[in-house]
Amino acid sequence: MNRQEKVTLTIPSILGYEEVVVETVGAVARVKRYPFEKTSKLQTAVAEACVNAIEHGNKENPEKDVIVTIICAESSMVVSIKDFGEGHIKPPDFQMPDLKKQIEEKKLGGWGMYLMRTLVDKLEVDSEPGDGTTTTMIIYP
Amino acid sequence: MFRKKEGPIKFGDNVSLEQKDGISIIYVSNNLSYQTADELREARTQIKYDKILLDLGQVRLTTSRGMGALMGIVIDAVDNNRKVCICNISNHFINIFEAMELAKHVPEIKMFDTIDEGMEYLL
Repeated sequence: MNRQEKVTLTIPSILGYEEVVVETVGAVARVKRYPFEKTSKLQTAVAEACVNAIEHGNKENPEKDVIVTIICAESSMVVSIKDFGEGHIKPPDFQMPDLKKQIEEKKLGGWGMYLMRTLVDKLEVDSEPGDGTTTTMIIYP
Repeated sequence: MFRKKEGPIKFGDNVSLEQKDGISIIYVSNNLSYQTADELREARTQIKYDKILLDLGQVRLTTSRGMGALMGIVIDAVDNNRKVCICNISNHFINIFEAMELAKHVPEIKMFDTIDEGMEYLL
């Protein structure tokens, strides 16, 4: 049997609400007995994804929701974060930014995608122009 | 004559700056993210001393943008031959710090578990 347990959350596109998602994800991971370090890393990645969805996706329009789905199966925990923005035209860049250059030029940033990819076991970003973006993060026990 | 003791200067809800005993201490609380990043940049302009301590003891959440602002203070301090350290770091901070391999790129950065250890390093 491969039973799935699902938790869904809807937050408005107001910065600060990502904390509700981070706390919920942490609680679910604790229920499913994921190790502390794995849970903490997932929470950090989730915060990043939620801020992206609120800011870059929904452009902080409080009328637009961010929908979060957490699915726990026997061998994985999947967190999907969907916004209702314009969607990306370019594919996401998971490459490590050139930190040396950024430090030299004192222009730090653009770390989000690489960071999320590093913190979870699997990261997928589905985005079509006009159809918003869904960021899916997966961790395994 | 009675003189009112100067307390920390506040920059928004999450950042305050205290300048005492030759050390500029920046206290950060709550969510080290979007808004706090702006507050940190503002606090950075008011730093008076060449010894800087960043206290992250009250930070519950960190994102890459907040980390970028924090690193801005550290790199600026290093460039200006100031002594800087970060104390009371959270797991969210460590997650980003390690993932970005920031210790490799900014080897001058010093981190301590407590403020007392940080003070000892700076004095």
